[in-house]
Amino acid sequence: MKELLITSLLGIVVLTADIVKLRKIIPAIILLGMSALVVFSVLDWNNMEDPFNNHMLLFDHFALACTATIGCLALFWFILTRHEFSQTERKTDLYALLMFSICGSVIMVSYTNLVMLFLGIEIMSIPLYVLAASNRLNVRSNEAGFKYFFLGSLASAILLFGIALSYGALGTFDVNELREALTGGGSQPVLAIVGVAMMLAGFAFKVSVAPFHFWAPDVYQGSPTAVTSYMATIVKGSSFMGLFKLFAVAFTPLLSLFNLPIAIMAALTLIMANLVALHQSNIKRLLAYSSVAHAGFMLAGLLYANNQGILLYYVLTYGIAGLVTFTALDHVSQFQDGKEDFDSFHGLVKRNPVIAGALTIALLSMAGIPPLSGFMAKYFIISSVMEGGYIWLVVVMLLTSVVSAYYYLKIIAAIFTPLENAGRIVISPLQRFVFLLLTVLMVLLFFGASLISVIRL
Amino acid sequence: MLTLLIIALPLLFALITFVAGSKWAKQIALASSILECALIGAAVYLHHTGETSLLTWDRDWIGPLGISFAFSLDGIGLIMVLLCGVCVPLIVYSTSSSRFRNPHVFYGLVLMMSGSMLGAFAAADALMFYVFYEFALIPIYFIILMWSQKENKLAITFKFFLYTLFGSLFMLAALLYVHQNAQSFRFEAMYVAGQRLTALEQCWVFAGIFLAFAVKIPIFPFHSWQAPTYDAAPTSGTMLLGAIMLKMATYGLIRMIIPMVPQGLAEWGDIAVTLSVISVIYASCMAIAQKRFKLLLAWSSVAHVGVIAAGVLSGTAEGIQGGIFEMFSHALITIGLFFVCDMIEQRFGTDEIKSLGGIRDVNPVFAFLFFVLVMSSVALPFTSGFVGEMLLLTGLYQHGPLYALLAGLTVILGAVYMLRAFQSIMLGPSNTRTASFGVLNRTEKAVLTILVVLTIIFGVYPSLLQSISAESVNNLLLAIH
Repeated sequence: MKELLITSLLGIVVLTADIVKLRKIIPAIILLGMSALVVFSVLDWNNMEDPFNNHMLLFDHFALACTATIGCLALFWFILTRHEFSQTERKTDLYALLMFSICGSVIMVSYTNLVMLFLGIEIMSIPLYVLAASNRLNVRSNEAGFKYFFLGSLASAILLFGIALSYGALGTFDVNELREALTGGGSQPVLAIVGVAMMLAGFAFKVSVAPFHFWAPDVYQGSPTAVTSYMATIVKGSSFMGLFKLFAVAFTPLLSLFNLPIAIMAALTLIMANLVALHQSNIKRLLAYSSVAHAGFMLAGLLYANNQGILLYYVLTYGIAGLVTFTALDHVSQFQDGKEDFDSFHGLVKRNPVIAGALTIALLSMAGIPPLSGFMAKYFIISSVMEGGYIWLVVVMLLTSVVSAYYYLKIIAAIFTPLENAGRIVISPLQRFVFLLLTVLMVLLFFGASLISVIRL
Repeated sequence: MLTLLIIALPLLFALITFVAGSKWAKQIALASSILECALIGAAVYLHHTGETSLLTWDRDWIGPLGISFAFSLDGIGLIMVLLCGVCVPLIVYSTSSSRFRNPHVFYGLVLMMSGSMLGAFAAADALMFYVFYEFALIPIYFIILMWSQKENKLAITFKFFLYTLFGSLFMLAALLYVHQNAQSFRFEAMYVAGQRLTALEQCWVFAGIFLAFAVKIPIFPFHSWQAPTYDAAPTSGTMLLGAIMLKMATYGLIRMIIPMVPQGLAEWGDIAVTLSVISVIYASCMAIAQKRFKLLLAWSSVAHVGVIAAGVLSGTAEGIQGGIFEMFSHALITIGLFFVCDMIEQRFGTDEIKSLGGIRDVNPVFAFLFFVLVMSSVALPFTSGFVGEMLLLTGLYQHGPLYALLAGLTVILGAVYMLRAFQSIMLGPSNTRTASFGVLNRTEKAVLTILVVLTIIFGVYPSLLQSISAESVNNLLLAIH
């Protein structure tokens, strides 16, 4: 419970600090708050709380592990993108919105009631609509906000409709009662199945899985890069964990019906995203497609929904690599008048070796080359899919991995292409440290992959 | 414990070299690789005395998923590790006269590469093998990308990286399939589980694993990445690729295919052997047609490893023993010949065979050393090349006389292209270009002499190596029920 209080208070404190003219200390407050979020979720590990407020939220091991992951990623994200926000005049508003959005993602991983799930997803998304459009003078940013808002509301409506249908069929919002209602009776009500299908569709939109992914490249490209990196890592990750909980706790008895559709959606996502990414010349758009492709992998982790560890590991791994790639792109394009094509990466290894190194490792990790954590993440998912017997999906995953390696290598080759008379890219010492830390983490997490067995529902 | 140290040491020193900066990079790399060689020598001694407890290291890593952090050195692995231990110092030392941009990165990558390959040779867990096998791609990719002189290096490195990655992913799928039945990636468990699969399943597992290695070795028709990559890589990169890296694949054939899917090998193995034999003949013919010495050597390497693959896949004790021996011998010869090619290219700026000639008159010492290496390459008796090829062909003969006959062409065709190349580079009258060959510097003399001495020692006393691996090969074959 402390975790939720911290994040929601943080948003309010940031707003108040602006009013009482304490703008200077806002970054310190946020850093402190995010660290506290991580520390408390680790400290609470061994003292299980009672479900909060009539079984609305429950901070069990699953929720705590997810919250700690969200906290860590948010902390790194905040440091790596500080420069972008410090230039605008409305930074406090934006920071406050972000804190509320994080609060929503904490609710999404800790809900035990479908109403809270809906609240969480809305609290998380609504600030994002504003943030996507926060670069007011840029047409693309406006387009992104507009598009995201309209399609996002539609998805939320579908999700809500799904929740309502399942309530109509089963008479409860509580996840545990839902499962009991489904296991108790002999036949499974059609309304509930339709409801779950609609929830899946609503979520599929939020996590950008084919065929509901068409908004993602436009929105990711149009939004300010700092916001994009937040959307691609933390938002996507917590949505997946929320979706996982939906299937693993509430609708487990219906899971066998949904395995095949999920597998097909995952395969479609992998194939479409990776093939389209091949032809991108704008790196931000390319990374957007790569993010969609990773969503395909994560979706495959939902098959059988019996091992949350592997999904969380993927979320963390992709989160770190995604943060590094998007923020590195941000730094590079800032020193190139906003250019985001392959040429702008030329000579990066001379211009800033730290960013170049971190970016190279992150791209190799996303391509799934050992000994980097991305390999382990993909391996776990592939091995669980194999155990489920979907060998065709394994083949799709392997082949698309090779395809993805092609465009990641293209970026790496650009980094190491020499460029004469290139100016240095300057980053703050703290950002330097975080880039190095994330690089080391990407290697260490490979060896620490046994962490996944710690988390049990 | 010692095994873990052997793997960790180069990786640790790679890190030190990165950090230490360019001034001492070469010295650190050389010292650490010699230290490494000494450690491996100690491991060989321990194996000889039978004290093998220090040579294994086995910890659970991700228990529930059956992945272990297991390494052990039996006779076969030990020879491969020894190969790595002997070759890396020579490769590092052979770069003494070259000037690299960012030497600390270069030598760091070389050490990283050696660490990853040692890991693959010492792994006692199939996933560990896979991890190190893939890991080796990263350093060699950057070695070629950053230090290649070729214009089209981007396209070449892309093809190399993606092609090998493509192949190895099928191996991963095959291993996962066996793992489902084994619940552990340790080789012993995988062998038992693999042999329990039905014949058809074994065939598909065999196909998956073979595809991965066929790309890496390379075997016709998966070889198209090889010659351009060897050509584009800086010489030490070519040496790493040809002498050690591809041996991971031929070693993999012994370790992963023969005991794991014997029925698959029995049913579909002939296709693989046929492909290997085709690749021997095809590559030999291509070598004859080459105009540049480095490309000729690249193709000759394909031909030689084709024989190794065919001999090993025959599944006979002689074939496997010969394969192991020839891997070692081929590594020595490859390093020597590519080094010779580099010396010529450094001096004249070209390695076009036609434009050279008469170097023997200028430098007879060089001519002698070069000649011994050529002789070893064409399998003259009393050189290491002879022992390896003879054993391989014997093994292949037991499997099918026709295969042995066709693969035996490698000796004849090899003599054609190697002797022709030697003749037009070294013999005849010297021209204005080659007259300026000059003397060998200390490094060149030392490296070539060591290689020549080693090839002759192992040619005369092959049992030095064979005694190490003989028992393990028998155990491996006994594991097939």
